[in-house]
Amino acid sequence: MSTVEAPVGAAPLRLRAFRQRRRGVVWTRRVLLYGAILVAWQLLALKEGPFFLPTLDAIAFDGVPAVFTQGYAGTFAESLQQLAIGLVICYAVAIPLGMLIGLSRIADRFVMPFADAFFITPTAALLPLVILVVGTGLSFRVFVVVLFAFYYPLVNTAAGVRYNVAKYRELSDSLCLSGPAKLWKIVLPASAPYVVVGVRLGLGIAVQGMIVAELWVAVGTGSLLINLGAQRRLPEFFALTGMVIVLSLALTELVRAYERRLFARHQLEVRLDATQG
Amino acid sequence: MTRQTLDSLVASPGEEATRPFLRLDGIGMSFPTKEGAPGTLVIDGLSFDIDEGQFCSIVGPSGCGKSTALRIIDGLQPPSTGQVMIDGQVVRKPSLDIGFVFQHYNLLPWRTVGDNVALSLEVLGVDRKARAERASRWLELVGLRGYEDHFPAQLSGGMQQRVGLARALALEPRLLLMDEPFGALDAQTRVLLQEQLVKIWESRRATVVFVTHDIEEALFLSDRVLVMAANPGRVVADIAVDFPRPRDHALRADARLAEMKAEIWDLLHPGLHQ
Repeated sequence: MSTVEAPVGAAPLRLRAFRQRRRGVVWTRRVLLYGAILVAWQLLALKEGPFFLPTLDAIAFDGVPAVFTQGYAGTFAESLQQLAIGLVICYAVAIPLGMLIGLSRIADRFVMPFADAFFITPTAALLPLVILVVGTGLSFRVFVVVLFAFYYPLVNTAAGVRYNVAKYRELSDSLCLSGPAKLWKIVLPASAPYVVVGVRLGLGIAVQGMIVAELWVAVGTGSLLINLGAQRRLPEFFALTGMVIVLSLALTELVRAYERRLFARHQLEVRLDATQG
Repeated sequence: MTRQTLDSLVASPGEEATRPFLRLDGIGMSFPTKEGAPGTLVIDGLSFDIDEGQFCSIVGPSGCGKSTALRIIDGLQPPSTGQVMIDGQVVRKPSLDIGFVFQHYNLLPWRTVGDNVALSLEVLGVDRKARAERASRWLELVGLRGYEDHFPAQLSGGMQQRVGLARALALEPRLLLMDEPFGALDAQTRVLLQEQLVKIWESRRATVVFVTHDIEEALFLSDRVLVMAANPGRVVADIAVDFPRPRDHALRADARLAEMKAEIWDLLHPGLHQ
């Protein structure tokens, strides 16, 4: 029996050229946008003076070397340690709990009201209570990271599991899959893109949590930022802030790259639409 | 063409010696409303027998309960009344003796084509090496040899549906249920897949219940066509299709097929031509 249709993946010289053109347009837009922001920054800094806003060259030539020579990097590394511990705990609890919520209506009804209440409550308002309970040491900072990041992997995992249980119910039932087989062979792999999106969103928010916790107890990178700001050492302040932003972006982009690979397989419609267009 | 009376669709008790392979006996289905009140009657008193090795199609208008009937036969959905029996056993839940081909493929996008077909073999407890060999064999049968390591997203709709067919066939089911399997495909692909399916079936002769909107498709593939009407869903005609096998493309130009198509059309839309 002969094959009657060409596979979608065999077509695409035209598609490749289209993608290259699109990538070129995206990067041109980015360069123009970020270039405009940097020019505006420089002009504003020259107008307002170094007490209010340092120039870009002051940040690059004074601030950035200071970050690496005055021990700031070591402090930053300690902050990252608490971030890492917090994230591991957060994902270890939120993802399995999300699965349970996605699978069980009872768990959904029991847990989600509390999770939603935490989400809409300003997290900073809870921090005095957290300090009373766990003190101001490493456990406080780790707890704050967990508190900030927890909702995103929880809700995304629950949504993914709930959706895929329904989507593949007839297939798994018709193949007579047992409960655990249904979970391992179908529901969990199908929910992976949702979980990874939750992980990425949680990661971005966790960096915020890391800094907020340190601002509250005046240690680590948060404390450094307070001191640098108070002393008007703005080139160093902005260089350190830039380092936090770059790290946060690098981590989330790393997860996003993995996420793209997963979605490329999972979203059939997207790829088929692109090739047919 | 032979039209049976509706009373003759189910064998009488005295005919137990020649027990049909599949029997639907007084199947009724209604979906209760949200408030718990009895809802619309989707299917009422659906009864027919299908012999082993028969290819039977069900045609009918949208909403007549064709797909619901198929899910009831598979045990995916319990009927409100009546029962389904396969080989004398009442169907209460899905079984690996029954293969199901879905309209929207239902492939697992993170698994390769080979692994999708092997999924049903994993359920049967076949070891990894044998699974790969058997999956390749079934893929070859549906014309997809060499695509084992592709992902579903890399295949066209017609190829994905052939993977779905290979996955169902890999179970080597005694009964194959197909729910508008070519309904989402373009006209040309649909014709090509019908011809592939007819060849596969003629070489294996499993019992098939095939749901479709396409009258010509039903006549081209089947030994028998059940015509359903809606509100509530019920069988209004049982038509024997006695074109010789093997069948090929030439059958589509047969005048008798056109006559039968017109007759079924009239059954589905009475009064339209008057």
